[in-house]
Amino acid sequence: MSELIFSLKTELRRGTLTLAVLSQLQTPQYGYSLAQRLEENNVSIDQSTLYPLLRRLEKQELLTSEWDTTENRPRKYYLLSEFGQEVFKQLKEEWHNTSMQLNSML
Amino acid sequence: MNLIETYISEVTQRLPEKIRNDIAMELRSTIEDMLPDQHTDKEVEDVLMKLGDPVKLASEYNNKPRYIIGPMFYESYINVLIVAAIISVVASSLILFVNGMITFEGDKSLFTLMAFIGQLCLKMFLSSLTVLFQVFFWVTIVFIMLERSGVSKGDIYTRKKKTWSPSDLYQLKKLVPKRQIPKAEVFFSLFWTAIWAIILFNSSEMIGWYEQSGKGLEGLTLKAPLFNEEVLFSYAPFIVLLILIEVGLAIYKFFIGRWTYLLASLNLIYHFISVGLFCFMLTDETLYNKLFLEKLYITVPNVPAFWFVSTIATIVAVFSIIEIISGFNKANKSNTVMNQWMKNG
Repeated sequence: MSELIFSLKTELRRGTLTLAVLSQLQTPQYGYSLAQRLEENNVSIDQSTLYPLLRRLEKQELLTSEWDTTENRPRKYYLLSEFGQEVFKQLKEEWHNTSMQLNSML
Repeated sequence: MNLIETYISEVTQRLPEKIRNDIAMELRSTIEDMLPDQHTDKEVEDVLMKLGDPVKLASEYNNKPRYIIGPMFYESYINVLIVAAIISVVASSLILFVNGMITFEGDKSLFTLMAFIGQLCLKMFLSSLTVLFQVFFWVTIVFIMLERSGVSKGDIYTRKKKTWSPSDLYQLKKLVPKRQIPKAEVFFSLFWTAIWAIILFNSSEMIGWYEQSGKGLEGLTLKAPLFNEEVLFSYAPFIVLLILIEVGLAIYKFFIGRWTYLLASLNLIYHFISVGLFCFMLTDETLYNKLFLEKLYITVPNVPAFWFVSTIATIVAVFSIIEIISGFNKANKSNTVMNQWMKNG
């Protein structure tokens, strides 16, 4: 029973994670800073899910990335691309609509 | 420090060469970000625990399908597998059978013939197994390549299939509630074609006047073949044509699965040709072996050969007419069923 609830919850959250990540990448972030920002906003995401997700979004051209090697520790920064901005806008709208519909029903 | 590098290599060795370095670098900087400047082994362990099983992490990075043939191709894969398996097994068995019968050179007794057929069946069974493995292997390989080539990434689905509408249902005329021609019937008719063709072409060693000159089946020997081999072989082109028509008709039946007016008409043409050829051959006196006729005359002196010929011809003609009529009958019935089904559905 609890296993079923767990898998249903994960399924429900899966799409929203992308939206949460996109929302935090208006400014360049590296992996760990992004993880911290999400944590501060009480979005629980496994780090083992987050980093591969960033790469997937980059591959889908929603994000651009750049290595910053000026500091003593090289860091890979991610930023929303133009296309990513557009997608984020539409996803956000979709989220508002969906949550409104659901709220009126629940 | 060593622990971190081991963890990173555990992840990256499961990744494609191209992205290995980049991911290793990113992981290293992330792990260091997560650690305080002065850290203990315990703290490293805690951080690695947060990142979790390296195998799982690597599979997340890979993001490759974890199946050989995905849902997109699964159905067509199974269908192609079944059709290819059936066709290749039938074809290989037929070839073996024909080949075996043509090269058959035993003595003329029924006993050796039976033994030979038994052996042939075993051979056919074994070759069918081999062929099945081959078919399975190659079809699977082709589908894996289709899957891997990225054809399945949705585009075929949207490009090829137009959006569905109820009017598509009217196109599905071939889909009938129930298959009317059993597959077994088709296979039996193919088998029957092979048998009569082989017996006919080997008739000089198989059909004729047998006399008992020893014990049991082994003592049964062919004294005089029924046909004059040279004359029989002059008919070969027509007989081969008939075989082709028969096989073609059987295959057509297999795929269409039910009787239609077209099938009934083809059936009619086939029977006309076969009865015509049969009667023509039957009345050709040069076709028969004189020795056989003599032996027949000695055994049943009062019955003229003409009587045999006309009796056989009549029986064949009657059976053909029954077959033709039943074909049209079934086509008619199936048509009515179809119409009702279309109306109701």
